Amino acid sequence: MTDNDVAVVRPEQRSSGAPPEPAAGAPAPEPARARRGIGTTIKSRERWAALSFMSPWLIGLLAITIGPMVASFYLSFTDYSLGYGEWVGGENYQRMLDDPRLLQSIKVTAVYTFVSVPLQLAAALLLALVLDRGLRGMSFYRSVFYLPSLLGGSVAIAIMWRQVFGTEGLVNQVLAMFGVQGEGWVSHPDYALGTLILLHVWTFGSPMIIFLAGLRQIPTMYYEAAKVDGAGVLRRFVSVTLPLLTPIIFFNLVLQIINSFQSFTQAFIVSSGKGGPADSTLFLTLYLYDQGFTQFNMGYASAIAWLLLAIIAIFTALNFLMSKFWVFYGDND
Amino acid sequence: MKSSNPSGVSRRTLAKAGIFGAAAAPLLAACGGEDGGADKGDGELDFWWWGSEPRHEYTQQIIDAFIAENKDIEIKPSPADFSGYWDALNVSVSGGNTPDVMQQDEKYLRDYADKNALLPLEELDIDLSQIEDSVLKSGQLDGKTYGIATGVNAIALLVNPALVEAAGMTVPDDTTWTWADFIQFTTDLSANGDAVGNSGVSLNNESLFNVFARQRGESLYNEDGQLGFTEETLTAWWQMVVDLRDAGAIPEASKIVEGYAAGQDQAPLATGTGVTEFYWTNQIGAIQDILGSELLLLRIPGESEGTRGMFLKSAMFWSVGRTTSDKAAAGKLVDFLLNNDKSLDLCLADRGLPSNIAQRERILPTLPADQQLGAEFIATITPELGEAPPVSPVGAGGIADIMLGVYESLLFDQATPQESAAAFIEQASAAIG
Repeated sequence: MTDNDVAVVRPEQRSSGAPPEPAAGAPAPEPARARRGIGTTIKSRERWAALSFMSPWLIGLLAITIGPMVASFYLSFTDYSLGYGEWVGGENYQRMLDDPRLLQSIKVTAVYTFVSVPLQLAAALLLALVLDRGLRGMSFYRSVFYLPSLLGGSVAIAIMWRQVFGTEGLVNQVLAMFGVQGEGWVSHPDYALGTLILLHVWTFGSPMIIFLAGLRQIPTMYYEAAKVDGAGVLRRFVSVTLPLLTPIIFFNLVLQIINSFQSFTQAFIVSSGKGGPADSTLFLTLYLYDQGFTQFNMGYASAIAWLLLAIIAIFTALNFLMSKFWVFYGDND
Repeated sequence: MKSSNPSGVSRRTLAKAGIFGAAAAPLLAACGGEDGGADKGDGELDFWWWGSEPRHEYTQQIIDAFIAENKDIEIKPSPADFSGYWDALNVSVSGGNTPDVMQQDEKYLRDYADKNALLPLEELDIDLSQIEDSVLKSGQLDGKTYGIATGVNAIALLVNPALVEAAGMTVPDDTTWTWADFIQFTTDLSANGDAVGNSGVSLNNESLFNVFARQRGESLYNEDGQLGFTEETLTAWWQMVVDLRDAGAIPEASKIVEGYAAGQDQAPLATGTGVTEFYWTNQIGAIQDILGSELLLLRIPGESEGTRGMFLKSAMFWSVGRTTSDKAAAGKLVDFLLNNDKSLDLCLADRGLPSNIAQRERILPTLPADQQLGAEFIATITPELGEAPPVSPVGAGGIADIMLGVYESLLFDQATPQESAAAFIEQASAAIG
C-alpha cells in the first residue's frame, strides 16, 4: 500500500527516463511492420497471458468477494430473510438512526479500535527496537514474540482468556497473593472490553515484524552522524528513527485500524456470542451476526455490513489525508 | 444404502464451516426457493435435529428402525447442537435447500412458516388421532398445522432438598406460595447456608416472565403477535430481581454472568453451590446427573394469587419443508416418530413428555427415575393449568438475547427497573414489529 503511495521517483531514475521496455523474452520487433501495431499485439497477448495466470485468483475474487458484495448491497435494500425478500428502499438505513443497540455497538467498536491500536503499535515498536540489536538467537526471540499474532485470533486463546480473567481465574489468583480481591474481569461490563483490548495488544507480533524490517532500512550513517553531533539514545530515536519510520507506522496504522474494526472471534467467544455483559462487548460485527443469524433480519444485517464498510473507508481516507502532515518519505523536500 | 456418514460428526462440522461460504450461494442462485414439491417422490429425506450426544445416538437408532420398515426410503441425518442448528438451518432455507423433515422450536416456528418454508401438514398422511388437542393447536397458525409437538414441558423451580435441610429449613408449600414467600425463602437460604438461595441464571428467561405476566392477567405476547404486557408488570419483575440481589438471594452480578456463560452444566444448582433455579422439566435429569443427588420440582410462586400463570410448552416440533422431494415419505417419517412404539421406546421423554396420549401412558412406567419426576409433576399440575399462550410472533427468536442484555445492565446497576422495562419494550417491539 505504501509502496504505491510513496511512488519513489528518485531524480536519477527520472533522468534515465526510458519508456517502459517490453518484456525481456519478447521477440525483436520487425522493422517492416508499423511499430504501433506490433506494440498492441504484444501487449494484448501479454494481457491475456496475465489474465490467464491471474484467473484462479480472479475467479475467486468475482465469485467469493465481488459477487456477494454486490448481492449484499442489493439485499440491504430489501427485507430479505429465509429465502424471501421484498424491496423496501432505504428503510434498513433509516432504521439505523433509531437503533440503540447499533449505536452501542458503534461505540464499543470505536473505543476498542482507538484504544487498542495505539497501544498495540507502541508495544510492537518497543519490542522491535529491542530486537533490532544483533543479539544472539535473535530469530528465536522474533518467533516467540510473533507467536501471539498467529494464536491471538483463535478460538482456543479466546476460551483461555475467559478462564484467565474469570472470577476464579489466574489473574485473580495472582492478585489474591497480594491481598487484592479481583473482579470477574470478563463478566463485568466495566472491564470486559478492557480484557479484549488487552488480547488485541498482545497480538503485536505482525506489526513488530514490519517495524523490524523498517528499522533495517534506516541507513546506519544517519546514526553515526548523529553520534558525532553528540546525540544521545533518546535523541537519536526521536530525530532519526521516528521520522524515518513514519511510512511504516502509517502502514501499520492503516492495517490495524481496518483489522480491529473487523474483529469478531474474540468477542464472540469471550461473551458467548451475545456481546455481553450488558452489551459491553457488542462489536459491530457481532451485532451484524446477531441481526442476520439470530433475528433473521438479513436485509438489515447487509445494511450494517455496508455501514461497517463505510466507516472503515472513511477512517482509511482520513488516515491518508492526515498522513500528508506527519509521514516523512525521505525523498520529498 | 447406508447413510454416507453414520457418525454425522463431520457433517455437523461441515455445516458450521460452510455457513459463511454458503451465505453467498443463495444470492447467486437467486430465487431457488420455489422448487415445488414433486408429486412422485425420490425416496430421499434430509432429516435435521438438534440436541446432545445421547439424543443423536437414539435418534439414529430410530432412523434405523424406520428404514427397516421402509426399505425404499433413504435418510440423510444431520444432527447439530442448538445454536449451530439455527445458523445452518437459516442458511440452508435461504439457499432453497430446506430439509425434508426437521425439528422446530416454538420461538422460530412462525418465522419459518411465514416465509413459506414449511408445508401445512394437513397435506400429509399423518395419524393425529392420539395427539392432545391443546398441544396440536400450539403448532397451528391461521388454521394450518406447521409443526406437530413432540411432547410437552413445564417450567418449574428445581430445588436441592439436601441444601435446604443443611440450612436448617423446610421446603415451602408450593401450592400456596407467593413471590414474596419466594424472596423470603431464597434470602433465608443464602443467610443460613453455604449455598446461594437462587443461582439467578433464569430470571431473564422470557417464559418465566410470561408466567409472571399471566398471573397478572397479561402475557408475553398477545394473539396479534404484539407484546401483551404492561410496562408496570415488567418493572415489577425487574424490581423483584433488584430485591433478590440486594437481599443476597442471588449471587453478585459478575458471578451470574459467568454462571450463564458456563451453561447449566456448571451453573450453581448443578455444582451444588446454589439451592434453587427455574428450569424446564425435561432438564432435571441432566442436572441431577451432574449434581449426583436428588432434586425436587416446585410450582412457580404466585399461582394461587391471581390467575394461573403456568402452562405446558411444546418442547419442540416436527415440521416438513415445503419443497420436500417426497411428501409421502416425509409424512411416513413424521408419523413414525410420533406414533410408532419403537420410536417412543427409544425417545422416551427426552423430547418432552410425549404428545401422543396413548404412547405417553404406555411409556410412563418404563421411564427412568429422573424423567418420571418431570412426568409426575406435569401430571399433577395439568388440571390446574390455564390456556396455552399463543404462538410466538415473527422475530421472537431474538427476544432471549435482548432480555439477557437488559437483565445484565440491571444487575450491574447501570439501569433502574423502570429504565430496564422501557429498554426491553423498545428493543423487543422493534424485533417483533
